[in-house]
Amino acid sequence: MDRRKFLALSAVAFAGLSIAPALRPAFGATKLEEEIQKRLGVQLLQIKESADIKLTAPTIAESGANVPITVESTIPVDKVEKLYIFVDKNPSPWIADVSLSPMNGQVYFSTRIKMGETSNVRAILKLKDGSYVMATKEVKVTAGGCG
Amino acid sequence: MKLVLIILVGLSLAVAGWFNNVKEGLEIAKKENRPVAFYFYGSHCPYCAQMEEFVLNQEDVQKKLNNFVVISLNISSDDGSKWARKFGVPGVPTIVFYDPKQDKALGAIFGSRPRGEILNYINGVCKRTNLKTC
Amino acid sequence: MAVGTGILRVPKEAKKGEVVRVQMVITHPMSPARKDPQTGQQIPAHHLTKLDLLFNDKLVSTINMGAGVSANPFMALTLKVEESGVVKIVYEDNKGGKWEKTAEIKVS
Repeated sequence: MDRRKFLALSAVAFAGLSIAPALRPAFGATKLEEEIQKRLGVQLLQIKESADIKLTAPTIAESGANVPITVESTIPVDKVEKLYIFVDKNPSPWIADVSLSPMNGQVYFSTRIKMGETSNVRAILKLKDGSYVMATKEVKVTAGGCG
Repeated sequence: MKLVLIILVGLSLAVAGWFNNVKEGLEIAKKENRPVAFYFYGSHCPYCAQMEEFVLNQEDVQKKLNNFVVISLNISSDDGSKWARKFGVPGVPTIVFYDPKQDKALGAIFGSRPRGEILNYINGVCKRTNLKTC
Repeated sequence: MAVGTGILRVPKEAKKGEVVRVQMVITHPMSPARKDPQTGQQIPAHHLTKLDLLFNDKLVSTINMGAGVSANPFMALTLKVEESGVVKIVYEDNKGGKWEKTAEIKVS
């Protein structure tokens, strides 16, 4: 390959790389990624996992109809604006969101959710400084039937 | 104009319906040369609710099921228990795929399943039918 | 119980500055649009959409939810109490249903 051709090729390759991230949301974004983009205004991959959030959920759920989940955090509630719950593989990944205030005393929310199949459950906190942090847990949902 | 009308009527009949009457469903299936999907459900089974909420109401599953005449039966009903016995249905929710012309079961799937699994299963059944759209 | 009936549980007494649990159970089908197995028709969705938690008429939290929350939902939040007062929940569903429930808490 002569030098000119090589430069031309690498220029094309570089252009391809820089266009790629902008194209990414349009191609193959999962329903979860779309919902997060829509409701939070950021991309899922921009949200970091945080050990300061404790997401409690069963590893194996007896019934997909009633999966107990609890979200707590050591992050002071005065620094937190909102809490979101998502289930990756549900037809509608957004489950609920909770606005918190200093009157709550702490970051805490507990409820029971529906899951269509084995999937990640995510608790995402929106902080007052505009950043997001998250905890993820996979919950296995077993197939079931009534005899 | 007449041709358009005929085509429209043909199309509306071609979207296989959802029946809870076996006789009616089998008649339509034989007339339209379509296979049948029996959906056995129970009144208080949470796994049936799971199927109805997460699988059967999804667009892609509905599209696949449109290739079949769906006959939906409460397993405790007369027709339901009779046909469940015929197919050896272990419980609910169960979908049994059936060829009325040959009086032969094409497949059966028991229990609440993720949507992808149901779609894969139906695709497998489709290969054993004469339907091009399946 | 009738749709929309709410159970609101808070401790009857607490110390000033204590963080207490507020537990709620609402009777509601929380169903998404689903297929009626009998008819094959789509049954429209029927679920709670919003729940406000107030203390002495001040808004503490708002829960926005959809049909992904289980039927007859159980929900719990915390509340830091500095004075005695009334805990109130006001909640509504997508069919125009609106309900409220209150409970008192004595703070010393």
